[in-house]
Amino acid sequence: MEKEEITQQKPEKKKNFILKHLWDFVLLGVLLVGTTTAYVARSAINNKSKDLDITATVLYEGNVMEIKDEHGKNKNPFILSSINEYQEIEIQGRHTTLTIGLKHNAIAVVHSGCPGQECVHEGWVDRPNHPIVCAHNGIYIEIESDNWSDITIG
Amino acid sequence: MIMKKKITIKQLTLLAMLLSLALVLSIAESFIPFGIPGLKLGLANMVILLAIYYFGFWMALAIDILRVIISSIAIGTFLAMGFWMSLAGATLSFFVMYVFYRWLKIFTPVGNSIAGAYTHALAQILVGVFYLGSWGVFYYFPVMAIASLITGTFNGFIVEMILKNKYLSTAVGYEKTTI
Repeated sequence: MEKEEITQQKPEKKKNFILKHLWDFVLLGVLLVGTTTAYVARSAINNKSKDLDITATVLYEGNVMEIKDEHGKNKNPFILSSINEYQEIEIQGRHTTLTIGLKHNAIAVVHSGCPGQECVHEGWVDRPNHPIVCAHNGIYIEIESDNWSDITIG
Repeated sequence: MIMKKKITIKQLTLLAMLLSLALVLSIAESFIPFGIPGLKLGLANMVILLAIYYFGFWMALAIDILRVIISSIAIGTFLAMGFWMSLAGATLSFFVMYVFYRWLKIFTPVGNSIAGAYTHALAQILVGVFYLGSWGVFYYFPVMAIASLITGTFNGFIVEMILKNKYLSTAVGYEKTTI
């Protein structure tokens, strides 16, 4: 008799749980659908833009950073499609230094003294609109492409 | 003006314990790398939501702001970009959670937590846009937002379970035991 009561209570409990959290799940669903759509769109654009020629601009607190080559000439932004040999440049962020690696059509932060290391974990980036951020140092690497308008999604 | 009711020693103790807990969680989760700037488990948000239910607006806001300031000093990011991102995220999510708690009664602590976590992510991105001067920072938003929805739901259910604890509710003088 008691066992029967318990088995009857279970679906009732489940129903109450769903009813109690109905609006929570509606909110979760709406936000999840909206955000997942944005994520899928982002991934689609990312996949399509894989082989584009890219240019990287290193910004410090929103301003283009001056990075001089051996002749004292500013080489920022970097035209990555024209780089054929691997090279490293060292820049000073707000708190620590960063080493940026450059190779043909790709850029990465290979070393950073920041505590989070998110910029290093980002790895090699070879497509436009995928920025590299080192929030701790106020560094933002913007990656763009001139052939961006050639992409068609769908 | 701020406190209409006198605070009891029990409440004061619990308040200090909540602040300590929020601090420990904030500092501990800052050492868990996710590979995406600003992405965290948001465990401290759980404590802030609890404080809203237990102590109301001013006390919870005090815990929220104090934990951001003290934890950033401990981690070494005070007044750096990470600090402003945390402060903006914590403040905006606090106001959203409070609005949900106070006026949107159709939501349980789970809904409050989800809304808080989502706005936390959004506020961090907006500070990033302002600080770094590029809308490109929104690239990270979908991943951060999806992660915030997962952690927000999880944290919300934990808060709901804690609020159901009659012993704790009695200790802080929290009357609504049927969440």
